[in-house]
Amino acid sequence: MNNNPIDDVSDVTATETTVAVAGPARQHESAARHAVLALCFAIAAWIIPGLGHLALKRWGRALIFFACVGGLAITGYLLRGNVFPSRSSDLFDTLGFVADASTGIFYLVARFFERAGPDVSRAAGDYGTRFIAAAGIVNLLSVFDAYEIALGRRTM
Amino acid sequence: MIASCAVCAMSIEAHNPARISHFFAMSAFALLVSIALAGLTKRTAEERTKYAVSCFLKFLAVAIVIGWLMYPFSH
Repeated sequence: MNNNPIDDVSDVTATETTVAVAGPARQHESAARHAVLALCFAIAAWIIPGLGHLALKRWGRALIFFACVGGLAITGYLLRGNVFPSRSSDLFDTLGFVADASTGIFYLVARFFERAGPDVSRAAGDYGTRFIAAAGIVNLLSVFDAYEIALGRRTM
Repeated sequence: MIASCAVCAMSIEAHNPARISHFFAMSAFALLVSIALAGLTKRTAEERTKYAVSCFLKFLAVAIVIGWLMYPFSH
């Protein structure tokens, strides 16, 4: 047992110092864990539109994003829009692929809906290409939104 | 999804693109994008509905105005 008051004071000071040092480290660790979790929500939102919001218990947004991204992408496929492949020859095709791939699971089901392949010789096919790209952009916005919500930067 | 179902209903053959008018395609696009933007930027259902309707009407108005402005160049 420590009866010396001076030793008591030094113990308290040592404890405070330990807390002061561990505090920022713990905060940093917590922030890193939070960022990783937010990234997981963002990836979920990308793979299945609305899933990130669903995991964050934002039912309304989840439903809106799934319906809108799905509606735009499937309409685009039915109009026989161009689905850009991953290996492309120029920058615009690469951008097209990025936009198309941003639709997540809907990019994978493109062949199911577009069995005959794209037909951009007609205006409808050209419209379809824009529909698919717009679906990707809307889903990208939803991915960023889910990420921001998970990080706590967006309260709504 | 509703738009997609409407397109499905109008699709006659698997090898033909869905037959829809330009105006219907534009309206479907405007509607879906307006709803997505409203869901992204507004919080309550009332705010979202107002924003989506306003955005949809603005999409249509701007498209019709631009369409008429381009009309002389098509002849």
